[in-house]
Amino acid sequence: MGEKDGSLRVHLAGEPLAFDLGGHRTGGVSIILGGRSFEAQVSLEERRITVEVDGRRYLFERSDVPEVGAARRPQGDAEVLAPMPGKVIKLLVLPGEEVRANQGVVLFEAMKMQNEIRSPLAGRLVAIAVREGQAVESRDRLFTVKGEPGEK
Amino acid sequence: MFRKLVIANRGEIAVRIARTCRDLGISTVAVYSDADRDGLHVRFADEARRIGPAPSTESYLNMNALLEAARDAGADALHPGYGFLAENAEFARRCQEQGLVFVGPTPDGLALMGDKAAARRIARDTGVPIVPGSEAVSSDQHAIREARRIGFPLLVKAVSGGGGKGMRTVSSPSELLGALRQARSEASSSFGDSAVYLERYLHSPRHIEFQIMADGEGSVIHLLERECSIQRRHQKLIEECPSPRLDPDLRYRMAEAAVAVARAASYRNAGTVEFLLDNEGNFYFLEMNARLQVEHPVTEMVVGLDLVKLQLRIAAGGRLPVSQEEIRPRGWAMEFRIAAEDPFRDFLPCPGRIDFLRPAGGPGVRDDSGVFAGGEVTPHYDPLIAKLIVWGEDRADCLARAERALREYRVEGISTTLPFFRRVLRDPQFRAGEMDVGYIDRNWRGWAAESETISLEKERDRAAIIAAAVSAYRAGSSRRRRIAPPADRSAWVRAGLEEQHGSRR
Repeated sequence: MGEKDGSLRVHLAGEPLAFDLGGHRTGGVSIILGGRSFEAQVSLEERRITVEVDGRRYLFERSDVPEVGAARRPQGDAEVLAPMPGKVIKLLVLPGEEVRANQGVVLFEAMKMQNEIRSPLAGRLVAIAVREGQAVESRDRLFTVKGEPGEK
Repeated sequence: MFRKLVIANRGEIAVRIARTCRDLGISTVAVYSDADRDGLHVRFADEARRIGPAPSTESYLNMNALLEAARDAGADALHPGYGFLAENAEFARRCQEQGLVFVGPTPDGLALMGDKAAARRIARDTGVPIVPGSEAVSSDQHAIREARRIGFPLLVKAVSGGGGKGMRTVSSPSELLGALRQARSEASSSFGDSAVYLERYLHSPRHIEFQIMADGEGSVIHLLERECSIQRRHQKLIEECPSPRLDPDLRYRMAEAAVAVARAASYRNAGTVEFLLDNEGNFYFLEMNARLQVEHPVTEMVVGLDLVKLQLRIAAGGRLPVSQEEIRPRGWAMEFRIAAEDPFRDFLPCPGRIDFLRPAGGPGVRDDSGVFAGGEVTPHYDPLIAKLIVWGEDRADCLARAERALREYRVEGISTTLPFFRRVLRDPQFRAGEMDVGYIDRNWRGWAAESETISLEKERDRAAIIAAAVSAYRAGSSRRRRIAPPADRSAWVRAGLEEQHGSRR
């Protein structure tokens, strides 16, 4: 039972699956199933699991993790975070101004490339958490957009 | 030959150069910024010197620090790699002044080819067709005037540019000023020169370039072409040699044009003449890159020569050791640029620690990498971490080996472009050699959104389910894990994919 002999039990549609699991925890998951050898690359996010096998991509959602993020915030607001460490080059919109969905708000430089960080929705820019020239870490808050009801 | 050479670069290219130097018995001096103390290039060199803090303007672009390192180390030559100061005429001149041989073109050659507008003039005067465009634009007003003459869509390009940096596509007049601003700012931070010019945007051409070698004594040869049409925002991702599009006649005419441009510029050392090829077989000179290119290994695999070795020989004052007739291409090669970028998040760079690395190997496979497991990909520099190069007897053989090698290659801890390559390799158009510079923009958005529809009968699908369930279990603390495909929320499928474990007793 359990993992002591290096195997876990997985039930699929109520039926246990017969498979053999490799013990290594890095370098992908090795699975022998019906005599065939698979190597799966798994990336775990909070809710989402992405699996690549033989160059094919599978998406799963974890239903045992309570939903966070979107649900916690008032509807129609968006908090935009830095996608990676980098530097704020320029603020393209001022706080209080209206933004269209997909409009660039912050010009961001990371790894020598400049990208516009865009507003995910139409509304009003209610807060900017960064200054021009500021270095930011991944997932630092950049700005908040308050969605305008009735606007799309 | 040289005794001691400074490698004024970092990452995979610094490693690449160090390798050839070891082959030739030339002692090497690596330079590193504070962010690169643990870089692989430091370990692969015989000596290593710190040149400054992480920002490239204070380290790899810092001429004083580099020249001082060379002086201190008693080096007699310097290889600039690509990017950074590789095409900086002032730097080449300053190397020369302190008796340090710059492995590359002469300062004048660099100044000439570095000025993209001057390079275009040379091509035009040599009778080589060029893409319609402007000289460097002196002001917004000037740019608006020139843009009106050239027409939209057009490209804003950095005069000192390369590698797609400082380049913007402008599809309508309203975007022009914004694009100018961005291109100038990017050009200034990447090359220390904010000058830009405009060029007509050709619709879906192929990007084909010719490798040139010249000894500055009158010998100029070409080492075939490279097809570099698989690019995103002007950054190449896959290159191959030869191009599936060229027949012997077109290859001959383009090669003649490339050699003529190099000759007219009295060019010395390795260079690349870039062309755009439209679907009617018309080609246009784009620019000449006065450096070793990132993608040079595909040429090496097909012609069987070490380009860095040739560069060093020429720089040491030797004549070209091979003639055009002695260049005997054999087989087919492709390069895949493995970058720390997430193809599923718009190719966003994603620095971080490499937890696991297993490069591909076996027949026909070459891995030019600048990283190792446990190493850190820093956010300070280019996201390229490794190049996978594959050789085959012909294109079909090369494709098969590429698929095999891409399947083997594993990187964990950071996202990479590997899944993108695996998907491209399944595309019938790519396999048929049909591609142009719009390929990624046209296809990738759709492909990135794809995920397999799960059939419980298919073993691969069941393996994926098991992998997801096991990983979720191993990552979590509670005993029960449930997973489901997000697309289908029907009770049946959710129940079907539920997995349970016994306790860990």
